[in-house]
Amino acid sequence: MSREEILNLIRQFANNEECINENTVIAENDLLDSMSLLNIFIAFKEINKNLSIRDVIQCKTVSDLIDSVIK
Amino acid sequence: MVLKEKKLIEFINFTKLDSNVLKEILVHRNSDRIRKNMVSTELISEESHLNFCHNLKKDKNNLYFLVRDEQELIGVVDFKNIDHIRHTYEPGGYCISHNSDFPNLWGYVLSASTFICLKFKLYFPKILVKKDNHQALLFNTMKMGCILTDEDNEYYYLSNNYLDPKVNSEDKILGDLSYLTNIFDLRFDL
Repeated sequence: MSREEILNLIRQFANNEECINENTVIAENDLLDSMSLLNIFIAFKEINKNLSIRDVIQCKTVSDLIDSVIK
Repeated sequence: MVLKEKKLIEFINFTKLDSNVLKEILVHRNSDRIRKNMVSTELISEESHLNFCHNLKKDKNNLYFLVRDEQELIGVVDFKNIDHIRHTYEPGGYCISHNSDFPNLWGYVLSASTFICLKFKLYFPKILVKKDNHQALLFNTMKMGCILTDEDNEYYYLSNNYLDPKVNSEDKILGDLSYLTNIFDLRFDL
């Protein structure tokens, strides 16, 4: 998947197309709540079976999240 | 000009609650959704629960608070095994109501519980998260700034030094949290 496709996937789980971009800081964005993050992690595991929860919890921004799944 | 009313969030010490409210809390605590993520997954009897809550009145090492708004119970936050000399404690709790009108409400609640930490000088949390509770791990690390320090077969162990007086002054922390009082009418019955 391309970065753009993964970004769109994240946007779907955050229920908002507009306010999520690669620079979005996860801790500061209310739409990226723990349920959204859990759903994103589950979706990411489908894309990259080797992805671990440890990889994801280090992510600070949406860009980091995208990097974690395509590394 | 229309002033938007602040949302009430009230923290009430279990020792101030009547038995009907305590019983209502127990119904949620015993629900499958919440119980499965607790350290103790056993069903708790009403008698045991009420005794436990009654004994909190003379217990300086464990604090439990109901969090609610005007209409409903939002959740419970607790501070267990408090060491008043080392300023350590084990934070816990559970969200009862997911208010879809207010994204990340539980995150705000936990941020607001920092005021309780400051009041009781609870600076060093020892956080345990069950390994199958990925949502709690994601929440604590990605939303609340905790760091994964260790793990065993059953738990992840997390820490957070935000309240360490050597890291942040109380004035700095209160400044960081000032946004909460712009959004919420926060009340504490400690």
